[in-house]
Amino acid sequence: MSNPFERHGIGHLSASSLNLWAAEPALWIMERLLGRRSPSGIPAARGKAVEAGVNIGLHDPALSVEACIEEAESAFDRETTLNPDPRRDEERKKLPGYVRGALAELRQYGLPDADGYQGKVEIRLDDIAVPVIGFVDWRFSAHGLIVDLKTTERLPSAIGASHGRQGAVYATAHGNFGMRFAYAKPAPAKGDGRQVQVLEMSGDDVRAHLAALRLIALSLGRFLALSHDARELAGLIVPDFDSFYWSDPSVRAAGRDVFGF
Amino acid sequence: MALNIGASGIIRPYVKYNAKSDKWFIRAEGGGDLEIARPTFLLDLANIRTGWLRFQEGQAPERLIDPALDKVAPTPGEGFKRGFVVMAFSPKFFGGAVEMASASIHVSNAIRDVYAVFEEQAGRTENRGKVPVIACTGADAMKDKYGTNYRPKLELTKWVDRPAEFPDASAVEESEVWKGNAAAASKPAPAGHVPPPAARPAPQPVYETDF
Repeated sequence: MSNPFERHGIGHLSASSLNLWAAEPALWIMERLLGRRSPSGIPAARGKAVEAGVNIGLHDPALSVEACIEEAESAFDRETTLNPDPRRDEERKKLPGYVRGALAELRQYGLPDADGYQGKVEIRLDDIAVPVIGFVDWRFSAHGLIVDLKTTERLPSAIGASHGRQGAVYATAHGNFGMRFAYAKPAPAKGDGRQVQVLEMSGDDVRAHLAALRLIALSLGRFLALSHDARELAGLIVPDFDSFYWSDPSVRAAGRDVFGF
Repeated sequence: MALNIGASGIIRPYVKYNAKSDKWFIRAEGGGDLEIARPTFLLDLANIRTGWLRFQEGQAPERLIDPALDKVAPTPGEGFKRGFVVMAFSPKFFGGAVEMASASIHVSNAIRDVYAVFEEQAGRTENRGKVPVIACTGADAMKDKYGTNYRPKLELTKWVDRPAEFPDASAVEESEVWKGNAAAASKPAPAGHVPPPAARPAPQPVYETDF
């Protein structure tokens, strides 16, 4: 079998997988090759929960914000019920603010496509044997826009590289659609009352991030081609345990298991 | 370029250094201060902002941020001191990304000096796009007319890639930046913000006879 990805049981890639490979390859190996998956963190659970609440509010404009918040809180509770992270309670308290802010902004876009939420997209990158997949938050076909919601403590001035790569996949899968990220804070800013910042990717942004994704995927493919033995590949990489990627004690313990220190 | 600071107070006390006690604190869960050990952390010196800060008991912190590091805003009034606002990041010590702001002269001087080192090293090819790691390795006792205060020893130890959880963004809101008289009355749209699309007219009904 000449396809280095499928040799390791990888049938597809994603922006998040390639971002992890680029940022902390040792963790990528531990999770994706050796199957030692990290538990979902509180910030990720927060993001999913807010999305769930906003989603029902976008699809039913008459639905009360309180009902959307309740949906978000339920989703958060389901996701984190066994999570011992001390930030859990504090993050849960912020959910109503995130949902209110994001709904106020995104309801102005009108109704998203009925089948759009978490719709799967798939693109191909030149010279990469497996597809890159993603799941979009909302597609507003009436406006030719894809919108992805990000929860944050502070509004960014630009779309970062990891989000840009994610958006490049979504935009490429949708032809002429514009790609927007809506960054939502838990509360309006004290100064100007701003709570949501929507940033749109230019065509150049999409092309540049797509080119980066391809190069990252090529790097990964070359690495995987070195051996069909995942353990042997793990022996070629040294983790940076000072990195925040390893801050969760269970992840650190698994890292110790895999990398020996 | 040297930072125009050097003169206490924390605006949003996520992490702060108490120059009187030589202790570091973060906001405890549920409020209040939680003492931590001398930290090692990422400091987003590329996005540091300087300005005038006032921290008064029982009142919300106030600040007027300089329009640029080399352009000092006029003093807004009594009780304001020169200080800085910057984001710091450490999952271990801070639990993630936090704001560090201070108008303590000793903390500001420490930041100013470590900024000079940052500025010297930031242009190197190998450091481009990276963030400096700062370690607090101790403190110097500073005796003056107010008694003994401490200045933290901050060392730039290495440069690392910016974590995804540590956005390349300013710690201040645009509305906090001094813009002269014109800005005082206006709330400009956030840079780069894309407004929602205009509503589309409802589709006209199509009658069978139109075919």
